[in-house]
Amino acid sequence: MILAGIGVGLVWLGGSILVLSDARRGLAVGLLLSALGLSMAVTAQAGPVEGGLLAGGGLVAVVAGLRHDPRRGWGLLQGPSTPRVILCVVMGGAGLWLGLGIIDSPGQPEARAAATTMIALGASRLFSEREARSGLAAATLVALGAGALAAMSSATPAAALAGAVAAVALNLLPTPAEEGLEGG
Amino acid sequence: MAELAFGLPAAGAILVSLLRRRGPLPLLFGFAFGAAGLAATALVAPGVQGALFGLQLAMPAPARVVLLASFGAAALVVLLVPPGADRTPMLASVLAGLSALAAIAVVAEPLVTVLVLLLLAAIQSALPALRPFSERVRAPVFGALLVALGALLAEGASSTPILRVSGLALVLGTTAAIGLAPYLQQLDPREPAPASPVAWLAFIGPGLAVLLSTRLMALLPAEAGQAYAGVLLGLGVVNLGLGSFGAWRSRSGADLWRYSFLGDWGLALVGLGLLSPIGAGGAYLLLLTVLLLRLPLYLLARPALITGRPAESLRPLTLLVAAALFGAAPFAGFAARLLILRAATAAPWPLTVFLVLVMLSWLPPSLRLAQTLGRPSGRLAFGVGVVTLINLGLGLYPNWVLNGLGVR
Repeated sequence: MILAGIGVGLVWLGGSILVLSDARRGLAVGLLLSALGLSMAVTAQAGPVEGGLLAGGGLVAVVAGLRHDPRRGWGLLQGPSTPRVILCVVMGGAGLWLGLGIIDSPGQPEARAAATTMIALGASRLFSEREARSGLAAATLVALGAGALAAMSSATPAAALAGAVAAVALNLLPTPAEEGLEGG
Repeated sequence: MAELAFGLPAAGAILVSLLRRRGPLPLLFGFAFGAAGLAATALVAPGVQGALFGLQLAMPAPARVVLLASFGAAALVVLLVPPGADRTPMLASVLAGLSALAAIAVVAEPLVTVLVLLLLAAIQSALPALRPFSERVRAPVFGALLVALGALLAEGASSTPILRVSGLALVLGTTAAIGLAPYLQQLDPREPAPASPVAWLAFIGPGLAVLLSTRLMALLPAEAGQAYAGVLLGLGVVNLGLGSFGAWRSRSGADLWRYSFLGDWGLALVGLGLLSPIGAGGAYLLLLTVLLLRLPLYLLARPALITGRPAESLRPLTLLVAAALFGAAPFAGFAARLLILRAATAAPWPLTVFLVLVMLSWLPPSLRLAQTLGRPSGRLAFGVGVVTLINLGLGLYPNWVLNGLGVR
């Protein structure tokens, strides 16, 4: 219970760092913290295999993202940051509310809340983002969260593996160097 | 066998991408893996349960037929690329799309389907294109999230209002992922086909519609069925009306094509929303014509759309194409429209009258659509002839397909 609660907190902290970052180090740390938090929550309630797969997927995704993202540094709170701070609070709260109060399954409330919080934060960043690399990092949060929910719903580690594979694949994708300029 | 249906095209897509600069090798591998995936799909017994690492696998009969048609459409679009264009990127893209479609058709767990959809949206949005990543990724990812929400609510909810919201989320999510109104996107013929909205509207969309009508609908209890059907019918009527109105108002050929896809999708949604086997049969048949007629014809028309030179006179081939696009007898669109109309007679009569009026309103736009092909000659004329003949075959023997769909 305590482990799962700490996991939910880590998911929110990592997701918020990802929402507030515009460079590879910030995105990587945010993604890693979120993946570890999710893994803790899922391990406490679904099993170590599922949790390990999600943590492993997150870790490999972080490494792949670091290698592909050319923007060095942390990039935290660059430009007008107030809307993003609000996004972290509102979407984090909405994800938590959805997981604890609205849906009754799959799995235990804490693990479910960790997954829905991760999806909510990832989706909020994805929909407010114009840059492809940050968008893919945000999509990775959604993939890991959906993988965790699928693992709890189907009671098989294969679904967690699917989430981990999707997370890695998203970060391995090459992106157009200059968006909006290429045609063909 | 079901896992091979998505594993083989996925392996083909990866190989084609890795070997893309090695002359004819990627094409050979791509066609071999695509053909093997087609054979695996054809050998899957519909409805039979299997498992892959504990994940439940089963392919419903309509999903199998639409997936086979998607393989056919993929072969047509790769083989009939315009002269001078490179087949390799198109082959890699269609193999990736086929792999995702097969996974969506086979995997029983809706949240894994959402993962596939998410990955597909990201891959498609990362392709070089005219529109930015953020614009392209928004609708399909929003759709995937709504489907996830709908599936979660359907799984855990017991109260009727939440179940209704679940049905609403499932339908809106699927239509958002396909890119129908109110999530309609601009269609620019200069944009490469795999990265353009047509990839969702005409290639991935039919598979998603079957997912909605088979697997996702099964998540909902009977009391949520009416709300689900109501949303489908409403969205169908909106798309149908918008397609018809937009086609009459549109000046450019690309807009006309976009609204023509919308018109067909509106009819298909109405067919699915009528919740009758006859209506569903008509809808599936219409989706097959989107895959095997409208999509290849749009791709064949792209060079003429870019130069903006439609044919000024109506030639026999142009008239034939117009008849097929309009859904005149004996083409497949006629049988599909007839089935949907027959199912609609069970609903209040204004719906049937509206459907008839909208169907008839497509006659002049269909002639204009056929003219956007320019003056087909050589490979273009051959391609137009092949897709028209396939459509004629579907129209003459619809029972063969309807039996396969399991709706008769």
